[in-house]
This record gives sequence, structure tokens and C-alpha cells, in this order.
Amino acid sequence: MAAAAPVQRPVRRQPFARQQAMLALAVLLIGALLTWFAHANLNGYRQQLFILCAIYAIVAVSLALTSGFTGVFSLGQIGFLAIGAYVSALLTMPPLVKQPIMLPGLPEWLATFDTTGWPPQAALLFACLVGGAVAAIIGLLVGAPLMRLSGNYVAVATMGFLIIVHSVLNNWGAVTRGARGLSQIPTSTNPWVAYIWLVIAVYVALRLRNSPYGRSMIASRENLIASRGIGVNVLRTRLLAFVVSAFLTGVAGALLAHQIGAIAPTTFYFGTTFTVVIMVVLGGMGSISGAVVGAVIMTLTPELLRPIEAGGAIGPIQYSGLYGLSNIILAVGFILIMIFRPQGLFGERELGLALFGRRTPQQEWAGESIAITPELAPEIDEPIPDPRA
Amino acid sequence: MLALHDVRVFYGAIEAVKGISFEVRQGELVTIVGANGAGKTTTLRTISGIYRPATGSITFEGQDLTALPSHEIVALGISQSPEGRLIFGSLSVRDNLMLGATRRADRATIPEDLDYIFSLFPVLGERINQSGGTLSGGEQQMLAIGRALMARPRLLLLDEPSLGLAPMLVNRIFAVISRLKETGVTILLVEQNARKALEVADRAYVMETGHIILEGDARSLATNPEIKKAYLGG
Amino acid sequence: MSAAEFGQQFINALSLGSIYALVAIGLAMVFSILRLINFAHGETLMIGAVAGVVLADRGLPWLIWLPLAVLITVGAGWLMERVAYRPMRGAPDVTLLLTSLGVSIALQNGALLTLGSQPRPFPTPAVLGGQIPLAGGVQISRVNLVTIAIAIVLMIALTWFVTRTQTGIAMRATAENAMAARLMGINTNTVIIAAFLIGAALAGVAGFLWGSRVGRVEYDMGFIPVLKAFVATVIGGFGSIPGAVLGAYILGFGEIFLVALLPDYLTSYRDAFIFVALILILLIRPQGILGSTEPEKI
Repeated sequence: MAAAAPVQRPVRRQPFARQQAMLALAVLLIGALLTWFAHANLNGYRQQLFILCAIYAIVAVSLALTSGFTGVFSLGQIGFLAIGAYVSALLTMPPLVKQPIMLPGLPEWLATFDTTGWPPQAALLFACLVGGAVAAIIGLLVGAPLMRLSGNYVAVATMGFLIIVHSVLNNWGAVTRGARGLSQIPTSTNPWVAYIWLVIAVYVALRLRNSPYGRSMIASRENLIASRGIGVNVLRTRLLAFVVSAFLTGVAGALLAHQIGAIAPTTFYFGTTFTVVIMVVLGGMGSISGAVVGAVIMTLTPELLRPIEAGGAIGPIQYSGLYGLSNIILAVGFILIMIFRPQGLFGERELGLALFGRRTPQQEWAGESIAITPELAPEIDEPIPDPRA
Repeated sequence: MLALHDVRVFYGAIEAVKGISFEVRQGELVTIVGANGAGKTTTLRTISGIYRPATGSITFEGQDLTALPSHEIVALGISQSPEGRLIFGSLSVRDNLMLGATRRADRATIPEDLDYIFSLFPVLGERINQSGGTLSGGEQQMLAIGRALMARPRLLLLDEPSLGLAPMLVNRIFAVISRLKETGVTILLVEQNARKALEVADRAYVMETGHIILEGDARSLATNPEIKKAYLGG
Repeated sequence: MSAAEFGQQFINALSLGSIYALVAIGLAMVFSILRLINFAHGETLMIGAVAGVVLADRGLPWLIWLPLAVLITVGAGWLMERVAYRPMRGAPDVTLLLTSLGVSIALQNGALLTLGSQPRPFPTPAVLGGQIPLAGGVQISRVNLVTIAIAIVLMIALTWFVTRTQTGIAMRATAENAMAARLMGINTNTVIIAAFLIGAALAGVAGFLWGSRVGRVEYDMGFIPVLKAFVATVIGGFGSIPGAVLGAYILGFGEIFLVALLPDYLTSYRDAFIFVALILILLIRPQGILGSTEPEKI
């Protein structure tokens, strides 16, 4: 509600901006150091984990971009991940693998499209850009009508989109090889590429949020009536956020495909969707750095829980494999977060700002929204319009 | 019978009711008048347990209401005809009235009370099987009052019963309110139509932006020059 | 399509629609009161079926294990409300939706943990097995007939409940306006619990019927029915119980006849078609066929 929105305090601009720049630089450096470490010193498995953290951080940041800023909660984000992955894979797979016997549905030019002679990183960059672009275009087509909806409706419609994508991947065997998925994708994603794309994603998300667009996005989320009153084009800003996040997620999909080297439809469904949703909720909807932290936690936790699932012994108690246990732990943890800390770890604050004890203007959104149930709506002249009525 | 002491109610950060105290005695018709947004409706809803006061006490015949859920407050004998009527449009007039009797212990006398309500508002009897949503505004207001009466309340809370009604209907509604008072029901009436409210009430409180700024005998308030200027159109 | 085939498909569609309807009613009931899209409702169906398998393994006859399984499902519905949803009262819609996803994942994996990932055969009672031959070579499976009959009986009972009983009327009142309901002295907690219990009971029966229909039980068997039931509630109008039933039958018929009429290479896309339809409905008529709720648009 409008009147409950926190007052924007006057900000001492200069020192604060410098502090922030310093902090950004420090974070960048630490990240680069970690990346260097991962690249140079970690063994294959741990390096893969590092890359996976970065890729999921990109997905989480882009979901935070749509969900946190605009209040449009997309459950279809993983559909864009799939599109980026499949499109990029079809570009860079060696023509030998793409021949008509394997993928009879590919058009001639794509089947013979050959990046094997390119420098691997150039091919990957190209694949990322095209994968992201296709995801963005589809995002535009899907988003243009869907962004008119809000709340539950948009969540459900985007979920429908995910199911449609999944169904196409599973059934369009001539191009996707159906449930078997694609393999022999060149594994060219390395820690540096993943890190650089993550930096780009975070930068774009922060820039978007601090732009006039971003502010109107937040306005559209927090107070639909008022922001329409001041002439904000809600639809356009939402759509922009949706398309940008589709692009970034598409890029992440390309990185993912080129990390593992093999992709299948099962990766791109509700399991992953739920994991990414937890990342964003854990970090705090609307917090970019929170999304990154959430992604890292959620990528590493299942790995830590894996030994428990595989079976073994806790002290004297022997047990056999407990498949599903780590998911139960995650899901229960998620429910507990929803109940006890719906604003996540960071709320809407950013890492740096939180360190300096400062909050972004739209702080504590989650808590506020909860306070505004139909029954708690402020007394107004007209009978309270109960949404159910 | 009902006493509020230093009650404050917040919506998030907004303080809608800023520490009010007043009382309603057995058999009285007390009115709270004031402009839109003064906090009147919030006050009534807080009494009914819809909102929780942040501070202060609300007691009904010595019992503290602030910790009770709304359904138990109704069971104590406090029923409300809410602002905007809030008729259940998809339910029949009969079902609406029967819902008013949800908390009654004495179910044997329900038919008797239905007859009584139809004597107050004959039109409801004619429309007993119609759905609430098909009634006119005035009929819905009658249904809202009738529904609240079905609880056989000892304290009846009426929130803006004249809102949005044609003058003739307003007179009808106020005539019924006077009649109810004569039957011994204690009534707390919230109204924007201060002139009408002061005509029927024994005592009155004037609310402005969350505070009670004036109180007194209804007749003397009606002649108070300030009140005349602010609420009675000169 | 011959007349005989048509007849068979007709019964099949009616039966599928009946199961969707039993699941959709619970979704719609809870949504109408809490605005919660309860994805974990599919898991109540799964619990009903799994309970059936576990109890039948103990050698109980179906006349005993079926009611017990439904009872267990009802307990699960109660627990779900109490543990996960009650603390979330009044939270934003999307928060509720996400919480239900969490509940769904937790329960699915709980079943995975106890059942393993391999499907188990469902102990379909012998009376439900086999076909009834009719004139003209038409055969109708017993399961389908029983499904339709049970659904009709339960829906009549439900109609009686919401129109004739105090709790039922209070439930409709609460769905329409929760604050007004509270002012009437309705204990909305009771109403919410009743909605969960009834929804769970219907889902438990649906789990039995679904298990008998597909012949097996898996930890994630609730997912597809709840998605379909959900589409049904959207078709009929979020939160409208008659709408949910209507939507369920439309969906049942749509699905069966889509498969029957589409060329073979497209039939595997039927879920995609259904969700395209869902999105179109959301865009064109978000209040559904019977829903009167104002669309939640910006």
C-alpha cells in the first residue's frame, strides 16, 4: 500500500557512491581470485562444482530480476534455460553427430553448421549469444501477452510454458532426440567464462534496477494503482525485465550444455525450477547478491548431502541408500524459510549495502506484503473491496 | 457494558486509531460520528476482533475482548452489521439470515426471530429464497441489519447503515434503529450522517483522524456550533 | 470413429473427467477460501494410493483397506494445513503457491524414500477388473463405470453438504467474504480445516480410482492429476466448485478425443496442447467459464 511504503531518506551521495564502487571492486577481485584458484588448483569435480555455482547464480539472478523487482513470479524460467542449452548445443555439436541419421529434423544449414574449426571459446561465445538471443525472442513472444497477468495467474501461465517446452523437447525427437537428449557437445565452459557471464548478469541486473526502468518496476510491484497514476508503463517495464532475464537464462543454458557435454529434458523441469526458486527465496526476493549467495548454497548443499543419500553409517547406526532424503531436507528447509523468514537471508538488501548498515529504499517488502491482507487493508471510504467478492 | 480504554490500532506503520477511550452503557444508543477515514470503522472492527489493538483494553461486561477470536466475540452477544453491508451475494436471503445465527445457543427460537425480522423488514420475507446479490442496496442494508439481529445480540454494532441509500430509505433505516433501541438492545452506531445519528442517539462521540475530539449528550452536541459547522452543514 | 469406438471413448472420457473432478474440487475449495493453489494436493492423491498398497500388502481385504487409506489421506490433509499452511495465513498469493510446491516436493521425496523409484502394482480389487461387453462389440471396463458412479455419488453428497449443512453454508460464505463470515461468528479455522479434510478425502478416493485405472503406484503419481485438475479449475473459474467439475469433464473429453482424433505423430504432444489452451484461457477469460471472481489483472 502506498502509504506504508518507506520514506526515501536523503542520501549523502558522494561518499556512499565511492564506498559502493570500492566494495564492487573488492567483490569483483575476490571473485576473480576464487575463479583463478578454481581454474588453476581445483580438481575436475570441484572445478565443475564451481562452474555449476556460477551458472545457477546467473539463473537465480535473472529470476530475481523478474520476480523480485516486478512481482511477476515466473515458474517458466527453466524453459529458457532449456532453450539456451538446446539451441547452443545444436550449433556447436560436430556435424558428424548432427547428421540426418541422428537428427533427421535439422535443417540442412544447421546440420552442416560447423564450429569445430573455431577457437573453442569463440564458438562458445557465439553459442551463448545465439542461445540467449533465441531465449530472449521467445521470452518476448511469451511475455508480451503474459505480462498483463499478475500474481498466481502469471505463475501458472509461465508454468504452462515450462510444461510446453518440456513436452516439445521430449517429443520432437527429430531435432532433440527426445528423452535421450543431446550429447557430444564440446565441453568448453571453464571457470573464467562462467565467472565473466555471472559478472555481466549481476551488472545488468543492478543497472536495470537502479535505472528509471528499475524504479518504475519496483513501483509497479509495490503499488499498482499509484504507479499507473503517475503514468508508468507497467507492461513495458515488466516485459523488459522478463526478456532480459530470458536472455541471461538462455546464456546460462548454453554454458550448462557446454559444461556437461550432454543434456536431456529431465534436467529442465520442475526439479530444477524448484531448486532455482529456493535459491531466490533463500537469498531474498529482489536481492541480486542474495540470489548469488542462494545459488551457491543450493548448489553445494545437495553435494554435501550426497554421502547421506548414498548410504553409510551415522555412528553405530547403519543405513542403506536414502534416495530423496536430500530433497526432503531442502523442501522442509524451504518451507521453514517461507514460514519464519519469508524475506530470505538478505530481504531486498544487497550484500554491500547490508554491510554498511544501509537498506535499499524498498526494504522489507516481504514483511510488508504479509501485513497487507484484505482484512488489514487500511480503512477507506468505500467498503473494502475484498478480492474474493 | 462495553468499555474501550486507550485503544490504538495500526495497519503496518500507519496508526489508524490513536488511543481512544469510550464506553457504551446497557440500553444506550451511542453514536460515533466523523468524516471518512477518521477511524470509526476500524474501531468497530477492532471491537469485533477483526483487528487486534496494539495497546489498550476492550472489555465487554468486564470480560477482555482483545485476546478473543471474532467468533467468540459474536458468541458473547456482540454482532455487527458491517460497512458496505457485505451480504453474501451467492447465498439466499434465508442462508444469509441463518448465518447470522451461527453462534446462537438457543436454536429453538430461531423461527420466532425470523418472523420478528420479517415484521421489521417485510421485503426480506418476500425475497427469502432469492440470492442476496439480487437485492437492491436498501434491501441489502435491511438484510445486513436483520442478519446481525439473528444473533440476538445484547450489543449491536451498526457501521454506516445509511451509506449510499436514498433519503427515504435512510429514514426507514433510522426508524428501525429507534424501534430496536426501544426493545432494549444496546446499540453502537457509526455514521457519517451526523444529523440523523444525533437525532436518534442518547450520547455521541466525535472522531477525527484517529482521535475522539468531542463527546457528550447527543442533543447538546447537535447544537454545538463547531459540530454544526463541521458535520451538520452549518 | 465407429459408433462403438465412440461409445467406449465417451465412457473413458467421462471416467477420466470424474477423477479430475474429484481432485479439482479439493483444489477449488481451498483456493476459494485461502487463495492458495495447493500443488501438494496431488500428493494427497498419491498418499491415498500408496496407503492402499501398503495396507493391501498386510493382507487386508479391499473393503477394509480402502476406507483406511482414505482416512490416512484425510489425516495427511489435516497435517498439511496445520503444519505448512496455517502459519502462512495472509501471506501473498505467490508465497502460498511456492510453499505448496515445497510441501509437494517434500512429500514426493518422502514417498520415494519409502517406496523406492520403482512403480509398484496397485492392488486393484477383482470386482473392478475386466470388461463388460455391451451390444455391438462395445466393451466398457468396470473401473470406468465404477469411477463414474463413485464420482456422481460423492458430488451429490458434496452438493448436499455445501447447500444444506451449516458448515457447508459457512464455507461458501467464507469463500465469498472471509471478514463478513468472521463477523457472523463463523470460525474460519474450522471452515478451512473442513475444506482441507473434504478435499483430501476426495483426493484419497481419486487416488484409489487412479491407481486402479493405471494399475500402478509411483512416488510422483500425483503430479499429472494435480496439474490436470488445476487446468480444470482454471477452465471452470478459479475457486468455483461447479466450475472445477465442469472444467474437469471438459478436460477429460478434450484429452481423450484429442488423442483419438489427432494424427499419431501429434498425440504425444497432448499435454502441450492442454497447456496452450490453459494459457489462452488465462489470457482471454481468466475468470473461467463459471468463475465470477474479478480477474487479478494489473
